[in-house]
Amino acid sequence: MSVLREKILSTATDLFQTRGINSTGVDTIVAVAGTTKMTLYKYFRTKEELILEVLRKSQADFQNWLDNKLNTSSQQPADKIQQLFDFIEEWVNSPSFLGMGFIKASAEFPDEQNPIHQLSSEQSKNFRLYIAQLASQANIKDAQGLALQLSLLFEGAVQAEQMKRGSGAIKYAKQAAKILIDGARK
Amino acid sequence: MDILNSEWLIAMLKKSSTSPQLRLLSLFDVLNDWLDAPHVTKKITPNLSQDEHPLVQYLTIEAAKAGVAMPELLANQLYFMAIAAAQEKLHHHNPASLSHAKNAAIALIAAQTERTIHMPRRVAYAVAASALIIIGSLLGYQFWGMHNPIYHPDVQLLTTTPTNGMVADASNIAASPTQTAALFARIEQMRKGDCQLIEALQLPDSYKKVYFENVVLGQISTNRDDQKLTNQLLDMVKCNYTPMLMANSKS
Repeated sequence: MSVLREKILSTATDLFQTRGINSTGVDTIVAVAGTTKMTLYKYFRTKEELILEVLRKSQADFQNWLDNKLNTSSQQPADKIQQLFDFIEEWVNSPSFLGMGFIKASAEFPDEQNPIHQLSSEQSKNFRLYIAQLASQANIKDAQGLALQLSLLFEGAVQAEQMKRGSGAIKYAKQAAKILIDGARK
Repeated sequence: MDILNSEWLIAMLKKSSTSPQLRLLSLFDVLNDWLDAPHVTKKITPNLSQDEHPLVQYLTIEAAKAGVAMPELLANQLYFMAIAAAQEKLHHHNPASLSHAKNAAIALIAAQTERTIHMPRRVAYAVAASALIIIGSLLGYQFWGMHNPIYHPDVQLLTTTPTNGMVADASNIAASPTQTAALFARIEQMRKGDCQLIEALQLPDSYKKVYFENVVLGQISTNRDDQKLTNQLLDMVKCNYTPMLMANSKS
């Protein structure tokens, strides 16, 4: 990947997370990235394309980070679903946490027909499938049902945390997740 | 209709139950029913800046009444969960999404009503000593009770808490259909009265799940021991079945 393209992408990611996607214009992105509009449009034909690429990269980074954490964990497969929330809690509470790309994008682009909404919706679904896989590995019968409950908890907590940093939302979501996981094992 | 910002939704929640916990949980039932209703234009529009959002304010008040640790936070979480679940049902045709969200909400309320008590070490020792004396007395009473002709086996479950906290798993023996039917009838009877439910935070953790599922939600377990516990919890619920007019005329 070109260094300039990468720079534009990382600048846009930061600005979208801190200022909001709709509130961040292309002029601001190029000014902060130290480049020109012409260069930006050379790599991304439209702002929408840039947003979609930011979402894809953010989600891939998050997924790779989680995979790496869980794969190197010494926990048994049955316990990894609970450990998922330990990792998410660490991540949400870290000073560099800016929020979840797909959750913010989905809220800013509520129109179902919008490609940005569609991608964020697909990413939310993929995350739920990922939880369902962990639930299956933990021999939970209703893996899909539990995955939906946990993903709703997680997304609700992240949204509450995005509104107010240090809210403690993820701590309670983690405790609730444990209650749900223990209940689903019975 | 902007359902999330409607007075109708709050009015429906207000009249849904006499318990603040159940009014919070009714959010998911009311939205579910509304999404199933015919001839209604369904649209879920989340309010990004929730400043003075009437629904979140109402949920915050109810959460405070329910005795949760952080009412505003819980209100926000429930609000976002309800939106996500309603959108899931509306756009992805998942009929059970609001029911799953309600289960997650029950767990979240339980997590927020668990009290963490920090006490000085000296007080903690005193409390531990008192607890040992009480447990000792109870065990002594139970030993006496087992040899006493008026011993009531039904009382056993609440006074002998299993140390592993797995009440629901204490036995896998299924209750008889008659017992299950009788319990359903008790729950139905309770719904007809003006009942004051017990606060979940007063219960040991191991009882909370049985309490929420069986007493609060009315999802009766077929497990015999769960049913026994449910019956004992129902004994603790105070109900007034006097018709409102009659009660007024008496006073």
